[in-house]
Amino acid sequence: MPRWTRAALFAVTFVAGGVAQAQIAGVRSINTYGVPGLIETPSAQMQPDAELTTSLTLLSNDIGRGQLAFQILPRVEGVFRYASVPDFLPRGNGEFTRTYDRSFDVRVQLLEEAGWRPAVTVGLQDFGGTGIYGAEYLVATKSFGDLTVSGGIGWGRLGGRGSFGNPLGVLDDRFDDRPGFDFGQGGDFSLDRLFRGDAALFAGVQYDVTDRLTFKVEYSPDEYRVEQARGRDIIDPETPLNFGVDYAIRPGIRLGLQAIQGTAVGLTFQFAANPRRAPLGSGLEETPRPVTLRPDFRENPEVWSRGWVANPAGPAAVRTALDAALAEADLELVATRLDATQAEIRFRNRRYTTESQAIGRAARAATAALPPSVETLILVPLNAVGTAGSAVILQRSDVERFENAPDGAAQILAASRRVDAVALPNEGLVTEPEAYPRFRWALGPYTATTTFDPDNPFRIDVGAQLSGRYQPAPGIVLDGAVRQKIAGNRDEYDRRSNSVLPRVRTNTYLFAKEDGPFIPYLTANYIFRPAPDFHGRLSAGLLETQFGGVSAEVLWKRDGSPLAIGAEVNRVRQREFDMAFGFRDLDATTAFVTGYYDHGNGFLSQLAVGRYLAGDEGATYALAREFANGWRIGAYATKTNVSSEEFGEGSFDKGISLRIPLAWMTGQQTQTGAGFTIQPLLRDGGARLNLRNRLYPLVRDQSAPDLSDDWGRFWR
Amino acid sequence: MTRFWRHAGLAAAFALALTGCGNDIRQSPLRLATAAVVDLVRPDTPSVDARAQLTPELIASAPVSILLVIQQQEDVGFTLLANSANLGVIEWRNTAGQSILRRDGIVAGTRGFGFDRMTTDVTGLIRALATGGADGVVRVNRIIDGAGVIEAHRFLCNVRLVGTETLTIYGRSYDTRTYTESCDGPGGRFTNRYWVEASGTIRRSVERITPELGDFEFVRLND
Repeated sequence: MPRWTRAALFAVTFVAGGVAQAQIAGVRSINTYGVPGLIETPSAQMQPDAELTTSLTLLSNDIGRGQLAFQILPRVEGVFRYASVPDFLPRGNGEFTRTYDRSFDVRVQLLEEAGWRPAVTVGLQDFGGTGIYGAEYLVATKSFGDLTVSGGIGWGRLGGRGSFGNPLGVLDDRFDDRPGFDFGQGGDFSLDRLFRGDAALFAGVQYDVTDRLTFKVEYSPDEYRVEQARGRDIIDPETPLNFGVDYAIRPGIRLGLQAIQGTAVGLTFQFAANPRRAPLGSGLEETPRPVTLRPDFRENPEVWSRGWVANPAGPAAVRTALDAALAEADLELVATRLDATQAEIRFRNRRYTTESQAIGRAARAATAALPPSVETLILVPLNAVGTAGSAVILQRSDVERFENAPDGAAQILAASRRVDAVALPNEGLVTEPEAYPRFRWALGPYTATTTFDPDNPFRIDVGAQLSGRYQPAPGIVLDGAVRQKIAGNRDEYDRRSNSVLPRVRTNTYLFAKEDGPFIPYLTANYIFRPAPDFHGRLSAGLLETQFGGVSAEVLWKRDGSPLAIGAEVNRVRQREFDMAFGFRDLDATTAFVTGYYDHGNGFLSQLAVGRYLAGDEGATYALAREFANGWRIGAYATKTNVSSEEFGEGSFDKGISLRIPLAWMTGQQTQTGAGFTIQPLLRDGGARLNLRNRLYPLVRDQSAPDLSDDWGRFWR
Repeated sequence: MTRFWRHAGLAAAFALALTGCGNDIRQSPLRLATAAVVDLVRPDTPSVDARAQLTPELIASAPVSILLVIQQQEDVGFTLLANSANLGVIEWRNTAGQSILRRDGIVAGTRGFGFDRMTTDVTGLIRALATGGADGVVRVNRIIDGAGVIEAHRFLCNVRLVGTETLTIYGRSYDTRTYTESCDGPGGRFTNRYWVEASGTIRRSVERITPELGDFEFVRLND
């Protein structure tokens, strides 16, 4: 494909994801809160499964809202919102100052639209934040060709204008009254306010004039009471009618213009992305080497001779050929064990996103280099530190047979076996002379970001990093880096910590003020396999930017089991703010038992129970949705025995994580990706060490279910 | 002055860092992203369409089998050479690392084009072409979807003999019978066309690869 075509494809479809039509099928126009809907009110429609909708709404009264919405399941959507509201926080002298507010929504579609039945959705808006935008609703939506009609009942912010007594009051008197708005620490899930107090109706219609242009009109019950309470004068509604127009500039990019309450004008940008819509399909990497077929035994029996093993130069020549064939596939041969009928090949994959693709390419390389008498291929992919997980055992005749079979990936998987590589004999294993010791270094750029702090949604430092990694033997890694910041604004954060807990994270801003060279990490690690199904790790040194010490971990992970269990203990001391070799007088011992469970269909749960850096005890639960192409979107929450008051703003630690693989964007195979965590507030409660070599992410690709789930790329 | 030189030094260090050096530079996401963008915006070396280069003499003197491919959506023509064969499937490949897999002259897979087709079950189509056509022929195309998972698209196709045609390809004539293969299924609707010689050789075909890549035209230039 010509480069200009790739460039055009990339540019046009990065957000849209490789579609040619004016709009992407199923992607809905959003309201000013980032969910499918009209202007201020929601609809019952859902975005396509796994849709990641980024939106930004700017109002003429200086209110701004940025939203990240993820379609977690076909009928469940979650939203993170960061809002900037001017003149909101009372200063105490009758004046107000701007507030930056973080909040979460969740929406569940109860009924899908079908025949004459409308779609019905229940939603909780701002249920996990301060509650500025707190509302609950039940909404129904029905499409009639290009006309879509929505109507519903709302509580909270959507229970204002034209409100009436809560119909849920017939169930329980507690539904009659809604507790007052309490800014407080925020962050608690305000369960005592859900569906409480007066309710009101809302309705609206949208008309798709063309496949790009949409008109909207709605009746909104939002009276902006919060924005007018306590003497605030942020908005003065004049009419319940809102009007909007929405235009799809490109597939996946929409621009909306709204007239709100007769007193404000809004502008909404909507950007759609979906892990399932890769801009460049399944990738642009080059065609693999084809399987090299062996001559027919009956016609060339002498070629099948096993005599090469007895020849003093035979095995060495085979290893040289194997090394070259693997190198051609961008794989590194580390060790081999050869005999007349089988070959064990240990190799390192530093290029392919999935281990299955690396194994497939290694198998084809093996057919090119091994004598015909070798029938059994034992392929052992090694991880970044050189330890093995599962060995994949293939019959060479199956590799030959299924290469171009219509269902070849499933057939080669069914014909393969897996065993723990620990069970393989070490006798006869020959390590390549250049495999160890091994030294890698790089000089390159680095970035460090802080997202959604109370004063600024995004801070970034950029600079140069010199990193090195020395491996004298498998599993032994000495690594470190030196960084020099060139430019950035992370040092502008200047909120002095008010934490009543040991300041294990709230001094982060003091670390960010370092202008000179600093050491982000400098560690010695030993990663090993103590027994079948077990992995171990010992680390010591400057473990992360803020802490140094010692760390030990053990992980049980059996091939094929969705469950893995790990335990870790760390004894650390806080580093000096200059991030050189000095330490401060703040020690901590942390310890966790962590369970990992692969639910299937890409969902992974992680529950860690233990003691955190500030000495608090509790648990962290994380749920992630992962895709075979490397996308990962997750959320976590930590609750410890620290009270909301002791924790401070946010009440407890929670956040969202996102990882986008670079291969998805560029079409070229690379294991590198862009990842970040949105942690609305960095507090001391529920804080953990940021260790670089935790075992589960290091080894999980080396055994099923991860290894077999991604098997579709074996013949890629 | 000290401040100036400090900033100049930092800028130089960053420029050097962005360029990247060492023996482990592949792992830097910022460097990789920068390289990808530079690669995309860098002026491309103008490539000459294969159709403008091919001559009867060139084809006649070629020591290997050549397949002309025209990517109709882009109106780009390029050639592939037969590279390997395994159990009836021939891999045709170019120097850019792209390839087409063909079973009995029918596309069985593609690699290196992005929205590739991984495999195709064309057993029924081969039988239908050999017997003068058939209805309800099953075709299964497998792709790796955007999320990285194999997806099988099953189609029911009607294969019809629609006439005869003498093809003239770079000075050589070939008598062929023309077939259409009209397919319908959850993965879409499309019609492929085949020009088949009496020997069974498919001299020319126009085949839908995937919805995103559109139709490719294949012309067997020699053999």
